[in-house]
Amino acid sequence: MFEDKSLILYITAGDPNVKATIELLLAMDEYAGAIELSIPFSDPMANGKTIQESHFRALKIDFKLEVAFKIVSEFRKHSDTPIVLTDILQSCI
Amino acid sequence: MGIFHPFVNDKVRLIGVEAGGKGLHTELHSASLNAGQKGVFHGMLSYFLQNEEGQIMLTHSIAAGLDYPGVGPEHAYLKESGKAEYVTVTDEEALRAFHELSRTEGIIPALESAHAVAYAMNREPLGKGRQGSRYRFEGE
Repeated sequence: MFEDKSLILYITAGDPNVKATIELLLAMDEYAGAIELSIPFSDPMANGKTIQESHFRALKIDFKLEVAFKIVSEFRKHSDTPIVLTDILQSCI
Repeated sequence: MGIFHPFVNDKVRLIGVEAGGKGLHTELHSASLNAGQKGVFHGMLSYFLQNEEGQIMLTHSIAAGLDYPGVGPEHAYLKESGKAEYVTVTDEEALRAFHELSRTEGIIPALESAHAVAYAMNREPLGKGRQGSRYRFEGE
């Protein structure tokens, strides 16, 4: 996929809101070889403090899983940069 | 699964008592088996208190050891297989049982155990064993 080293960036969907997430993805797209978009979870215990706080901020706007797919759909209108959605089993079942 | 373990294969009625907190009509309880749904959390497939999105809820119980949004998977299995049944007792009932057992027997139970004591004293019809009617609460 990548001919050279690639920068992979990470943000949490819905942090601090949906509009900002789309704007951030588009801004990062200029530099990123791929972007990891994390689905926020109430107990992100495998993450460090910074990422945990991003999840808590995203959940303050009552973020729903389906919104993550809408964010990616919107991003896809502008870019074909790969996006990896990160979720945990609990919110998929 | 505590004291259930040696009785699982016996003809013994197993009753688990969950933390009803301020009541199951509120969100201030920890009754995963009575009010939770199946989920995967902390490495377990079991019952968890969660919202429609699968986000884990905040819980409450006067007993710190029960103040948890899930339950060990063995209890989930015992519930689903019908080998055990699970009821709830509120903070207030557990506290009353705590005082009653302390006052009448000099046994100071943990607040966790006080939930089971409350159910045994308060709700369960007495069997053939030792009668415990003198421990019944007023108005019961």
